[in-house]
Amino acid sequence: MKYAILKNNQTIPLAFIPELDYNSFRETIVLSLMK
Amino acid sequence: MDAKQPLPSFSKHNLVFEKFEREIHENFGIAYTDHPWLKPVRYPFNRVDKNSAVADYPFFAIESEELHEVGVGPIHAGIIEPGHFRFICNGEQILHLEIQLGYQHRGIEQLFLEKKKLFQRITLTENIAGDSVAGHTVAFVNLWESLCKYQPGGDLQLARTLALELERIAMHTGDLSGMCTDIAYQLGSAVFGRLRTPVINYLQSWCGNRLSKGLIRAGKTNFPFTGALADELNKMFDAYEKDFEGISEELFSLPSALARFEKTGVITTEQAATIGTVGMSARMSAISRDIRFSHPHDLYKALNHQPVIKHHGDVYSRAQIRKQEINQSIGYIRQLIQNLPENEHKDSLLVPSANSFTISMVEGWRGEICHCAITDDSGELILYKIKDPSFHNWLAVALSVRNNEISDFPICNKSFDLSYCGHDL
Repeated sequence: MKYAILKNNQTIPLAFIPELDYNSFRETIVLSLMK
Repeated sequence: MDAKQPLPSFSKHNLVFEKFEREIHENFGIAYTDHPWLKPVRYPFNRVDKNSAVADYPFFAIESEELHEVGVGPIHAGIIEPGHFRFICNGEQILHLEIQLGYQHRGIEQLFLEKKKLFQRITLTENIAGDSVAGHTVAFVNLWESLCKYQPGGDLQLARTLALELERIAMHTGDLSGMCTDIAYQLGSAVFGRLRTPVINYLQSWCGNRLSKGLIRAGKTNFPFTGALADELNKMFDAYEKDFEGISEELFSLPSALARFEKTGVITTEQAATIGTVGMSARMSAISRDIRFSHPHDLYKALNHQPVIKHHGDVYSRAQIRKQEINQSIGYIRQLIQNLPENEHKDSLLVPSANSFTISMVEGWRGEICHCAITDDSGELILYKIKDPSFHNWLAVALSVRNNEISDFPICNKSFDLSYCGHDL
């Protein structure tokens, strides 16, 4: 499972979000927020 | 991707996704297989199915000679926001409540894309929900400063933290007044009601507006927090606390009030976790959800915030949380204003980063406020998504009244005090 980790109020380049294509969404969690 | 292609629903695995999938279906036309019921959420102006209308909302119905339906709103007896509540009752007992919203939709997310000036966008933010100006504006400015790679100084962080906690105190006090009204406890209604006034009047003396409109700005402030304002704030709380503790003692020891509060409008921990409540609506059922604790920003990192947790999920728990959070917020404010940071003059904001994604979360007085933005290759916004805590929590109101008397609906509703316009956007 691929995921991008970012903090509250962090900006990340879109390229770091693996596959915004919804068809592979089940294999991808777009974001996980860490403390 | 092709919007006509149906997609599997997450809702059958986790009900927390249920309303989000309805929203995506309404906004983009994407159909989900296995979703329980893809009902309209807020009838946005730019919804895909223009034939879908407020008057045609598909309420859940039960056919029975023993049951009757009661419709309340969208125009209400008290001066509150419009929303429709459809009860299915057996005599006085509520079997089911369905809440239909959308009457307060203004198209704010779309306006964020159409209005290009920062001042226009902050004005939009201030008007998402008038009782959560500080909550939404802090979420927006934190997001915008992150996009512009700007780090606010200690003075700006102090102002934002103070504004959030003052808004929390003001709204919790007003809610305790409203809850007293709904159980016909006139003394509590009057005293808590008038106690909200000095708090919001303080905001007016600080920034000229009782709801803190104009106070929070990205990259700057037009109303620096001074030593004189700190003295005024301490004096205000000295007077406030005396009367607040007095009336709280009266309310929480009054048998007739407790009889109305206790075991009324219960949401179990399991229900709250299943539907994904946030903020107070989670903490009253023993679920620790508080952005000040989980994802601290501004001066919350220094405060080491500990959420107030209650366990019974009833009206009494929601009243207790408010009382204790008021005490907690006053303590935080007094602590923060002991040593004021220097007013830092920093460089101006840069242009927003191109091809970027930003998320910003704040603990408003109701719960988690979330703003997200995506920019294109020139740094212009192509998407702005706003999530008010009420988006999660309205279902909790509907569940809380089951098997209660319909005469307890007002106190159940008021004990949550959710936002119609925050939900409808």
